[in-house]
Amino acid sequence: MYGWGGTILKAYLSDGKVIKDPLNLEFAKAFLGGRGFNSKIIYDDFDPKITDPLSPKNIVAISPGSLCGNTLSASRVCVSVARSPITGVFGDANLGSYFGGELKWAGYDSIVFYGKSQELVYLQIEDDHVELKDARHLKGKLVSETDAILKEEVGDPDARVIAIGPAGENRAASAIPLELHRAAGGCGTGGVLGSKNLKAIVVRGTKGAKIARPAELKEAFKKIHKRLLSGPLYPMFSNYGSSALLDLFNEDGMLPTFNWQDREVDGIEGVYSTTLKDKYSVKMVSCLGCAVHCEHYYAVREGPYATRGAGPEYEVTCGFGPRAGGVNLEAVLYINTLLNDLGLDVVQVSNWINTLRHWWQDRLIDETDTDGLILEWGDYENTIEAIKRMAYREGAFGNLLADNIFAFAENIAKKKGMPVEKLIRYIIQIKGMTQSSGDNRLMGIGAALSHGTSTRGSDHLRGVNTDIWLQHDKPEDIQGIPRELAKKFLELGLSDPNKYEGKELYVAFMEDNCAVIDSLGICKRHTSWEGMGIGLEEMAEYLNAVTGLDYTWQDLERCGTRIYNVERAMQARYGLRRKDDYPPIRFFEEEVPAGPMRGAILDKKKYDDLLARYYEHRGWTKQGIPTKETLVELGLQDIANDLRNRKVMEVGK
Amino acid sequence: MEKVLFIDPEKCTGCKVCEFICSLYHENEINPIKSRIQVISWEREGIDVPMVCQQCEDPPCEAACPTHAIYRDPQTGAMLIKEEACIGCRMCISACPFGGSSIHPDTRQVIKCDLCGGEPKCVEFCATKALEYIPVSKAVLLRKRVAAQKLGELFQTLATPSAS
Repeated sequence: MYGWGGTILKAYLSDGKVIKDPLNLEFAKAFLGGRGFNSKIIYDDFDPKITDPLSPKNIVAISPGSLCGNTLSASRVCVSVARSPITGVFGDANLGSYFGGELKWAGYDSIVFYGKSQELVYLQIEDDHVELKDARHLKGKLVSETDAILKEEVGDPDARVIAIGPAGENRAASAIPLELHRAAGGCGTGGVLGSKNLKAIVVRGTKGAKIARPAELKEAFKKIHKRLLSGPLYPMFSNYGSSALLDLFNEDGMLPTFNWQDREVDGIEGVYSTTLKDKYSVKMVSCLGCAVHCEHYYAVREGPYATRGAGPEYEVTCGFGPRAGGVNLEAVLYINTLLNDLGLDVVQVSNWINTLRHWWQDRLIDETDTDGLILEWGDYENTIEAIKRMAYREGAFGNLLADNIFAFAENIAKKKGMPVEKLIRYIIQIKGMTQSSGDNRLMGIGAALSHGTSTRGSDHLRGVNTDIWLQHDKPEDIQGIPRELAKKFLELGLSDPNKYEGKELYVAFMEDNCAVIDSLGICKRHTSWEGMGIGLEEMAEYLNAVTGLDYTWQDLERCGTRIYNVERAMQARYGLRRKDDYPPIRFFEEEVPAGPMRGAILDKKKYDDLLARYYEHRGWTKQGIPTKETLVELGLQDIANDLRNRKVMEVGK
Repeated sequence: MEKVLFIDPEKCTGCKVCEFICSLYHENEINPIKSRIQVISWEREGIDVPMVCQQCEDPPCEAACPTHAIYRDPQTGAMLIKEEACIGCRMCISACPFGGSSIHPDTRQVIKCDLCGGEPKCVEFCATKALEYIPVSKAVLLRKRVAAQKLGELFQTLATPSAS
């Protein structure tokens, strides 16, 4: 078998056993790898009647993309859970990594964790040798400490480690696993790993990846790799990383500030990527096989925020910068390292704390609700303290925030005798997942719909992050989208970001495209998702050269549609319906108050109609559930039967 | 003019694309342990150093080889191994101060950088030019220029009164 490792590991933590299952080639061809594998495995193996995300019966699947370790641009590993502590339903997260390639070189396509270990353990993989080992000595260790100790312990500095920090061990809802500073952001998979008493996975693989058609792969590298490096956005990402978006968005009036209330903040240049580059960046670093190298290795050399680490993504500089009403880059970098070490999710934590600030501003909470912390705009001292208390569940405040922001809101509402909806509307979220720093009123209607319909809650990574990638006159100028499709999109007038009509086609295509990207393990920053050159055609070229199969780009798109429908059916089985596919209520009710984009707002009626057209285009019911015909056509007869047996269509009609 | 493989670790991002490319071109597979070049990283410290045969002027590997299997390619200057003469004793590996040669995990023979016959593929794919294949004279001056730039910046900092 080329391309895939050929083996799935199933770790039964309650029994302390790990079993090797041969990978079924037909399954591999249909679901590709990474996210596709995880979603189908979890659909099949999980009993949806289990509602507690911290139940031992929850399942975690960790799979590298099928192109990890055998092509360039493919570094990503997908971590999925049957029940997320953030959304309560199926969730997943991707991390750019070195781990994915290493796991493939050891011969594995997926690790699935069931049950719960009695004591804290880690999984060690060294080629054919697989063993669950005692990790009691790692209790409470930071992610970076765990990384160092385990490399020492297995006697191999080239081993790769994915670990949870104290936050995951303490089952904080926003906890995530990381490979050092490469975070599996979103959906709180770290707390689930913590509830299973799994501290880390350490892997070393020396078998390498056999290539079915090496000559073809060399040609593909020459062509696609060079196209990537000559792309129009390459200089920006390779020199400044995603933090450059902060400068751009600010200049275009698109930067959310003060928890999405405003567009401006004094002294914004303090958190510009140019400031980062000039004052704190030591050099650029990358994930495995990546020529874009969008992360800075940074150092704050002295002062109260002295720190070193890698990153920071735009989500950090915006989330703890303008969205928090602050502009202290040294503190932001300190927080970035702190979150990575504690094992916490930047997007969720920043949103939660900024929501607290917003409540504070409107006098809905005070010191009595925060155990004395003063959470004002632009504050950093109390913020850092709040983060630590959340990770370690210190005091009533830290404990509640660790449970999640909704639990916090309910507690406040009860205590103060106010309706909880009053508090919840402050939280910029969809399906319980809080939003990254892109504003649904400003990034285009396709992006708004894509956030709404995302199968893991609010997410810019699930389909369209912004419609501006279509803002071209000629189809050949649109990066990473097959020419005939690009032509069709332009003929439909989709280059207008604010147009509602026809966006259902773009969103459905991009959702399927992203499902393929996540399943092959390609970094989204190399693809059409970010206006870069790798699209379905290029991915098919890579996959065919590696596996010796003959996918067309349409075949791959169909795999993406299949994976998306599995996830959609899974969420329907949990009870999600049309009402859960809407962007945050504030974006329908509050206009953008200032700047060049002043007055922008989402139109409820037009969104209703767009959503209905999208469901119809997808072959889903009016409640957004995949119909039997749609599922059967995609080869998902088993799921069609399951939905029928469980009477899913009848619930919430 | 003879060229040399010139390494600037400060430009290396640790991506290991060179390892992918090297093993693909030499072995028709992708496997870092079969690559002739390896990036050694200390991720927590942000240090990445590509390690590869330096094609020394006075190669200790050549001196250590009991069967005279190691010789210099007159065209490229690369030190090459006559496979039929190599007995796999690994004395060359012990003698090399850079870890420039390694053992092929399947054949157990010694493998090392052959400069791809004068067109090193790793250089072609290195996005940051941490690896360059340049004439000797240019390499010498390039090293000086990198060092001089740092000194220049330091002098400038010292000479300019701080704004804050």
